[in-house]
Amino acid sequence: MEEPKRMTGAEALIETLLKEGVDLVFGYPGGAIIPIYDHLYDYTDRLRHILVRHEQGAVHAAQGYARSTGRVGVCFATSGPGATNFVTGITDAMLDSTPIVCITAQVDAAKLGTNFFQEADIIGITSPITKWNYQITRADEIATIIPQAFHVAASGRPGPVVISITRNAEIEMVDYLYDREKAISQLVHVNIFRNVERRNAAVAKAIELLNTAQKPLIIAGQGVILSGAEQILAECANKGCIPVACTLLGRSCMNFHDHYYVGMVGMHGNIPANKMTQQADVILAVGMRFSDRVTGNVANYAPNAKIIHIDIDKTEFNKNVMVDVKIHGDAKEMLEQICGGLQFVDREEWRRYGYEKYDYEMQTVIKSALGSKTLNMAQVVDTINGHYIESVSEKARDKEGKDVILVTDVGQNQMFAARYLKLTMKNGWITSAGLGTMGFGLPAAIGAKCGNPDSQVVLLCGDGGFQMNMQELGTMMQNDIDVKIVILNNSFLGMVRQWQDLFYDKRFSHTQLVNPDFEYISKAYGIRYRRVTTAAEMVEAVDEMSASKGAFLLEAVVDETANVFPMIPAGKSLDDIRIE
Amino acid sequence: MENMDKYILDVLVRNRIEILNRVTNLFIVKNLPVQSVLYSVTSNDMAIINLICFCPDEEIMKRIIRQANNIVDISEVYYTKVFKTISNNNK
Repeated sequence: MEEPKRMTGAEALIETLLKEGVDLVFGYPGGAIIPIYDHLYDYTDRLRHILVRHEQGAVHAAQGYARSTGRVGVCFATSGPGATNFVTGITDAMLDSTPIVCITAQVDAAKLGTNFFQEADIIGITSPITKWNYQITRADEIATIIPQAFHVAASGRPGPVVISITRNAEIEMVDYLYDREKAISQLVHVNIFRNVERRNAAVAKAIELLNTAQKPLIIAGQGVILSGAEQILAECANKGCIPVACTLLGRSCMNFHDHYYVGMVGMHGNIPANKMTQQADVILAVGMRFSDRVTGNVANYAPNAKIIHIDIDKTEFNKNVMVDVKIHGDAKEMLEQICGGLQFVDREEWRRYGYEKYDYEMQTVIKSALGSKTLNMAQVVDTINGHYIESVSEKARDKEGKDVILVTDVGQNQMFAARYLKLTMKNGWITSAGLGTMGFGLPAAIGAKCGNPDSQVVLLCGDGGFQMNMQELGTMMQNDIDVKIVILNNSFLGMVRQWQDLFYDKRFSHTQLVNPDFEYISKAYGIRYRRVTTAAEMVEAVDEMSASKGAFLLEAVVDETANVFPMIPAGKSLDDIRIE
Repeated sequence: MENMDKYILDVLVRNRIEILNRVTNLFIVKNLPVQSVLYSVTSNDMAIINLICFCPDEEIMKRIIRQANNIVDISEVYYTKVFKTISNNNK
């Protein structure tokens, strides 16, 4: 049996992180966390630390890392302001089910609650926005609590965990012994599937419904990606001849070119996906949560459909939409069971309906935009499809893992990218969906690149979102992180402007931005830069970006009056889709 | 609290400082009133929280129970709907 070793709490923390398989942390030091950073100095060969420029950047980078690698992202911050700067990212990770462990320092246990310098009650603050949190006040708790934190973050429906370590626990000596199994056995956690018989009956009912349906539709969410069920999903679609739509976070769960793929559902989704939702007689929803952005007005959502819902989190059942069959379990296991019972039914007409709607969308929305003389977002996304994703994928065809990871910020750029990027299962897709955090893109792209050094990482962002976390260019420079950044610059907060245009009588209240010269900014950070204003220049610039080594900033000056269509106005039904 | 039904909740939890906060948070986020909370520590590092609360709809109550079941450190949750409250006003 292994003997306990005498060490400080801070060293015990780093040892535990290494034993949990962590090789990369994002962080920012400060007063209370210095003892941990002091030990980190001795571990630089085994534990890489990326120094960010703002704690929000650290937590978004950890998210980008976790989402692109499937491992738990880890970030460090000091007490007080460091910890409170984490809050937005933690909330984002909670809503998008991202496994991260945030380790924040805290003042001495004896000084808690005295308004000590840099004291903030981070446990109280993060209680509603974490899956679990814990304040470590004694060094001997570290060996138990840290493995528990990793287990909680990654198991079941993943989520963020906050561990706050008081300064005295960092410097106390402890007899350290790592025993993961013993630590996890002490957790009281009820995420178990109690009634297997009832679940089997539900699966049988689902198979019967799908086999007898005339117009079935699968809606796939991030749960498919989290459980690695992409292949079995495609198999289900093929075997049963069932079209597949996806949610914003589930965008890379199916190949864009797949015969059965019909697009993204929701407020800014594709026309075929939304129309087919309303026409379907059976909907199989996998690993998605029927968010209000997906359903529109719930009263008129999928009026003809019997809904089968597969989710690992049973709180999602009947939350927004009442469902007919509830299947509580892992998406991959459940899809495998369903796939076993599926029969091929010829639904050619139903699929053709999807094609017609797709053609209609291409003709009415995209064709005119692609032919436009002023550069617009449709042209930018189209160029990235043809001149970047396809060429990089072609070169990396035999390589394992992801070839191109696409990251977006929030707003019009995100919606254009989500609808028209030709993603495949070999592409990564990272975006902030539930919380819609502007400024998420740049740090998340940095995290994704750190986790996948062999993949190309492309960030699509607006001028507003880019400037929210622009300081992270410093992180890229210091650590030589190669992210290709495409700024869609329309000198406006585009999505808010669009709502003001459509629903607030064109009263553009405080949405126009006066931007800095991005050329000087990229020069200051030693990043290659190019500015384009026409579609022809865009093609040249993307080719240049594709060929260049190292980071690249491409500023595409796009039409400021353009709106993103099709769209479903807030509170309206999916039938009220607007195309202009 | 008008038009709301009264419920009694019994929650078996792991006895740790932050857990009461998590349980009451289930009601705070939905802006639902809590009338009484009783926290009792049992012998085996566990605790029982008895809570009296108001809720407009049993479906919402069931949702809260499911959310409670999802919280790490909560072992079991039961609820009872109080159908009649005996008032002393009409003697």
